[in-house]
Amino acid sequence: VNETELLRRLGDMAGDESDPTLDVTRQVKQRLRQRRMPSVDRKLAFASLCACTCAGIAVVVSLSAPPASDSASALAQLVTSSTAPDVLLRLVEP
Amino acid sequence: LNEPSDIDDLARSLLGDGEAYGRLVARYQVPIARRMRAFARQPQLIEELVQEVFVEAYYSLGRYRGDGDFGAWLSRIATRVGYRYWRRRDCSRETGYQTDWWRGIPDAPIEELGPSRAAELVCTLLDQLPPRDRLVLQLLHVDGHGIAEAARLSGWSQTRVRVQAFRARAKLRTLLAKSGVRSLAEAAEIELHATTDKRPADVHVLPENSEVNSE
Repeated sequence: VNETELLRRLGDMAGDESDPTLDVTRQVKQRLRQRRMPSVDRKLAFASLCACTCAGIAVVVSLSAPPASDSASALAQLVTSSTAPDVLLRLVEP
Repeated sequence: LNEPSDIDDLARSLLGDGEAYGRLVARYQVPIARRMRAFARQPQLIEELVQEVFVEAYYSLGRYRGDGDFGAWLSRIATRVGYRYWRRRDCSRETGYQTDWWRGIPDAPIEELGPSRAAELVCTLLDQLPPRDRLVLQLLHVDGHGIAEAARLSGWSQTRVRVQAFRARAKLRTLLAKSGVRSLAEAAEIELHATTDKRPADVHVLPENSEVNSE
């Protein structure tokens, strides 16, 4: 007789145990009521996640883009990199 | 006569009908309690575990596909809740495993133990093993499930169940050899005796820090 046979025989005997008597219906309902706390709105969470992802992508794309070569972009870059008065003059002069 | 079926009650429960879920709880609480008795013996604890099963089942209702028996689906949740309980308890075990667990075994043939005593004995015996080993031995050898069913109930792969069962059986063998119970059982066709002084001299007794309880 090996150890698994021992377990099997004990298990067979244990299977004849009488059914437990209990009624947990009320407690389960009570626990469910307690757990029904305001939770995170799934749709809202998903929308926030999408927005964050889009923002992240936009940042990565703008950082990895090569420097602009056309004049309008160069001017824009100049304006963003400096607020000196000569820049403003150059903007208004033809 | 017009008792709603499981499917009706499930559909209503999904819509938030507490009464319908209450009917499901009332219908399945005894089979689930019977299942939880493998994980705990104290009635108070069994009741708490049964509650935990039904609370967890309620929040998983959306994942129940309805293509199988609802009782079997609950049984799967019950097994996982029970296993989680073992693991929680195992983590908080301060004194470690008992070294003289076999002292509680009555000095009587196994057939005379009675169902409750036999169930307690299985619990005491398997309680000396880590939860993973205990679960696989419980499912395969005590409950008598096959590999596929044990895998389904535990949520493990069949390969994992096989490997774990192999290791668990080896640990159980070592445990029994260590306490001398195995040899006594063999000698008397599974007659378990409590007294350690009956331990045969030829049993190889492992040192106290053997690998039985190591994960």
